[in-house]
Amino acid sequence: MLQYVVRRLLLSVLVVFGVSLVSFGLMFLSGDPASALAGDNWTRAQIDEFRHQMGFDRPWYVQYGEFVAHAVRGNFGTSLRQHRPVFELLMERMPATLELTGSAFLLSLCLSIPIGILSAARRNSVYDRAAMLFALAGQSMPVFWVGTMLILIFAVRLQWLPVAGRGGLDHLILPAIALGLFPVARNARVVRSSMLEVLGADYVRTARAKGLPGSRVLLRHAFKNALLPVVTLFGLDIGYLLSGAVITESIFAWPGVGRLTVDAVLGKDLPLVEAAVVVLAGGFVLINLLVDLLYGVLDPRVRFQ
Amino acid sequence: MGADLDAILRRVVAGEIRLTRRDLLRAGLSASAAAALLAACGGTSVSSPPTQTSTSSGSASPAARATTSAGLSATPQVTSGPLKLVLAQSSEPSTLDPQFEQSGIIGTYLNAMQEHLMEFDRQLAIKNVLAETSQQPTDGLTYRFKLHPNMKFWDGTPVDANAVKFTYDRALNADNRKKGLSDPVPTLQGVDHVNVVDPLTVEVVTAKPSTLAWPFFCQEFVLAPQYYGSKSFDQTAIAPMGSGPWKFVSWAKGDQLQMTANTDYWRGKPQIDTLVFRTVPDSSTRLALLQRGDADIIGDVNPDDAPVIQADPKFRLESALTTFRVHIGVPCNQPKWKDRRARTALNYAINVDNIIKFVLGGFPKERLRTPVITPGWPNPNIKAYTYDPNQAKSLLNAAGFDWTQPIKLYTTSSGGMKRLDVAQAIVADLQKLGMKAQVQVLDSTVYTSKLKAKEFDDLYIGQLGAPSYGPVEVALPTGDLGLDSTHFIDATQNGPTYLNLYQQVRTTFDDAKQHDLVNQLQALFMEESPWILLYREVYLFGVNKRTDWKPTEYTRIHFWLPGEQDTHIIG
Repeated sequence: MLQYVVRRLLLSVLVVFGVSLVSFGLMFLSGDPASALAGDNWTRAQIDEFRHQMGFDRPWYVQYGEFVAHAVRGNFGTSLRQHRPVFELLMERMPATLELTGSAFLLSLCLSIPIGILSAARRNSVYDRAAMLFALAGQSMPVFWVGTMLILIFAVRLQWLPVAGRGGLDHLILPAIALGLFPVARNARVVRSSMLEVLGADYVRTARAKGLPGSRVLLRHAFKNALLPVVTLFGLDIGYLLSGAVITESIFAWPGVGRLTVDAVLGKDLPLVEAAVVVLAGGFVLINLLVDLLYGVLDPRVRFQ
Repeated sequence: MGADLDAILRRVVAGEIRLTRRDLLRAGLSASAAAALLAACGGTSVSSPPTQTSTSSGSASPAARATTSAGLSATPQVTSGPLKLVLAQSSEPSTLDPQFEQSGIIGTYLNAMQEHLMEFDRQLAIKNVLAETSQQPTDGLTYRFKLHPNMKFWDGTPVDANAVKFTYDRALNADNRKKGLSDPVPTLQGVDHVNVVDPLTVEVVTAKPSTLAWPFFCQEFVLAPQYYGSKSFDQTAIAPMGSGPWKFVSWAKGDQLQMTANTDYWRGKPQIDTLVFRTVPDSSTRLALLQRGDADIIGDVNPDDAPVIQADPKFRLESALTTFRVHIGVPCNQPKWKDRRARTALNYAINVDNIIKFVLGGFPKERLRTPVITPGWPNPNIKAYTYDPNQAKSLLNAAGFDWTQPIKLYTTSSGGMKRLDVAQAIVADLQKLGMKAQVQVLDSTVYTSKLKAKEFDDLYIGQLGAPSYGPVEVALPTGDLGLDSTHFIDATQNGPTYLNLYQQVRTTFDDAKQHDLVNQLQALFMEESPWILLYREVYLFGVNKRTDWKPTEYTRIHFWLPGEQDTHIIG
C-alpha cells in the first residue's frame, strides 16, 4: 500500500512537471510576451529594451529551467502584469474558487445520489421519468445559458438573490446551482444505471428473499456495491468543476482562480500561468490519487500493486 | 389575492390559525411556483422587496434603494444620507501603479484618485489641472508649469514641484525599469531632466525639441514622493496614493474597488461620498446589475443590448466616440498592394456606411475622413470616400491586380465593437467585387506581435489611438508611436516626404505653421492610402438617470473633468 502511494506520488510529480512543460511551451509559442506586455504607444526600441530587461530574449529552456529551479524552492516568481508574487495572487483567489467548486460539488453529491437511487428503485415510474428528464435537461443546457437565466429570473425579476459578486451565502446560491447542475444531472444518471445493474444481482435477490426491509437492501447491499463507478465520476468532477468554474466565475463576476488564470493566459503573464497550472494540476492529480485509494476502502477485492 | 394572504398571515400570527409543517411546506411550494410562473411570464406584480444584501454586491445607494423598492419606479427620489455610485466594467487594471501599466483601463480607475498636470476636456482641448499655468517652450526644450498652491496628497504631503520631479525621476530610473516599470511617457516626450525652480514652479526639459511632449503631460499622473519613495512596488500595485477627489479605500481584485470622497480636495469635496468600480466580465450580467439597481453606470454595453436600455425610462444610453481610428492597414511593401491605385480602390470597395448602419447599429457617427480627428486639426479639403464598386474595379484593373490571388484580412475576435462581424462584412464586400478574400482570425498576442514587428503580409484591421493633438496624430504612421505595420514611410512614394515634413512639425512650435504642416501631411497620407479609414470606435454605456454622468471622448470615464463640476447624483 505504502509502496503504491509513494509510486503514485512520484508519478504525480512527473505529471505536474509534464503539464507545466507543455503549458510553458504553448505560451512560448503563442507570441512575444514583451510585445503583449508593452503599451500601445511603445516604440520598437522600447519593446526591445524591455524584452532584454525581462530576459525574454533568452532560449526557452533557459527560461523554463529558471522557473523550475525557483518553483521547487516554493518561489513561483512575480507576476509580469500585477508585479506581485504569483503564489500570493493565487492564494488570494483560491478561497473563492474552493467556495464555489466546493458548493457545487456538495450540491452534486447531495442531489445526484438520492435522485439516482430513487429513480432506480422506482424504475419506469413517473418519478423516474421526471428525474431522467431533469437529468437530460441538466446535461444539455450550457452553463453560460443556465447562469444567465438564473440571474434573469431570481435576481432581476424576483429580486430574491444578488445578481453577481462574492459576498454572503446568498451570493453563492446562483453560481453554485449554475456550476453544479451538470454534475448533478450526469451523476444522477450514472447512479441510476449503476444501481439498476446491482439491483439485478443474485445477492440482492437473496437479501430480499431473507426478508430484509427494502431500504436496507437498497442502501446497505446495493448502493455500496454501486458506488465504484460513481466515486470515479465524483473524482473527475473536481477537474470539471475547476475548469467549468471559469465560465461561471465570468458570468457571476466571481473573483476566483479561473478568471485569474484566463486573464493571465490572455495577458501572457507567464509566471502566473505556470503557477496556476502547477497548483491546479497538482490538486487534480492528488484528488485522483485519493479516489484511487478510496476504491480499496469501498471494495476489499481491490488490491494496490 | 394579496389582501387575502395578508389577512391569513395576520390570523396565523395572532394564533387563530394553526399550520402544520406539511401546510407550511405546501404553501411555500405554491408561493414559489406562482412566483416563478409570474417571473417567467414577465410579470412585475411580485413586489418582493429588493435584497440590498451586502457591500460586495455593490449594494446601491439610498437613492437606488428607493428606486428598486418602489418596484423599479421611473423617478428616483431620495438623496439624503451618504451618496454612492457604482460603475460596472468588463475588466480591471492589473496594477494600480500608473508607471507599471499602460492599458486604457487604468486611467479610468486612477482618474478619480490621481491627477495630471493637464487634462483633456470634453472638447478635447488641453486644460490645466494641477498646473495653474503651463507654458510651452520658448527655447524648444523647456516646459514650465506653475502649480496651484495648497494642494495636498491624501497623506497630507504637498503636491508641489518636487512631486513632479519625483514622478519623472522614478519613471526614468534604470533600476526601476529593470524591475518592470514600463511608463513610456517620459521617453516619448524625450525628457532629459526636471528642474525645481521653486516649490510651486517646475520645468520639464527635453533633450531635443519635440512637439510630441505637450499632450503627454495629460497622461503622466503626479505621484506622492513620500509614499511612492518608501513603498515597494508590490505595495504600490494594490494601494495607490493621490491628490484626486476620491481616496482609495480597498481593492478586492476581480471583484471591486472602493473609494471615498476626499473632503480636503483642493477643488472642493465631491458630492458623491462613495465610488465603487465593479469588475463584471459578462455583458448580460452588467445589464442585469443596471436593471436591478445594483449599478448606476455599466460600460462596454453590447450594441445588441442597446434597445433594452433605450426602451427603459429609468436609463439612458450614452455613447462615447473614442480616439481609436478603426482602419484597414494595407502593407504597402507587399507586391499586391504596392501600386497606389490598388490601395485607393479599397476605399471605394468597402461600403463603410452600411457597416456602420447594419453591423454597428449606427453608433459611430460617420465614416472617418482623415486620420487626424482633434477638432481644428483635420484638413478641410479632404473629403470622405463613398462606396463605388465600379470605380474600385477600374482602379484595380488599371493597377494590374491579379484577381485570382488569395486576399487575407487579419483581425482579432475581440478588441473592438463587433470586430469579427465588421471583418466579415468587409470581406463580403471584397468578395462581391470578385476578390478571393477571407477573414483570418488571430490570437490577440500574435496579432500584437505581428503589428509591432511590421510582419503583416496582407490586409489587417487596425485601431490606433493617440493623444488628441494634431502634431501627435500625424506621428501614428511614422513609427514614432510604434503602432503601424503598413510600411507607409519606407515603401511608398510619399513616405520620405512625409517623414521630412513630420520632422519639421516635431520641431515647430508656431501654431499656424503647425496647422499648415499637419494639413500637408494628411494630404500626403491620404494620397497613398496606406489605411482604409473606417470609423471611430465607439463605447456604449448604460446609465441610470439618477446620475448626470456622461462619458468623454479621450478618457471615456471621468468623474470630474477640468472646467466642469463633479459628477452628481441628481435623483
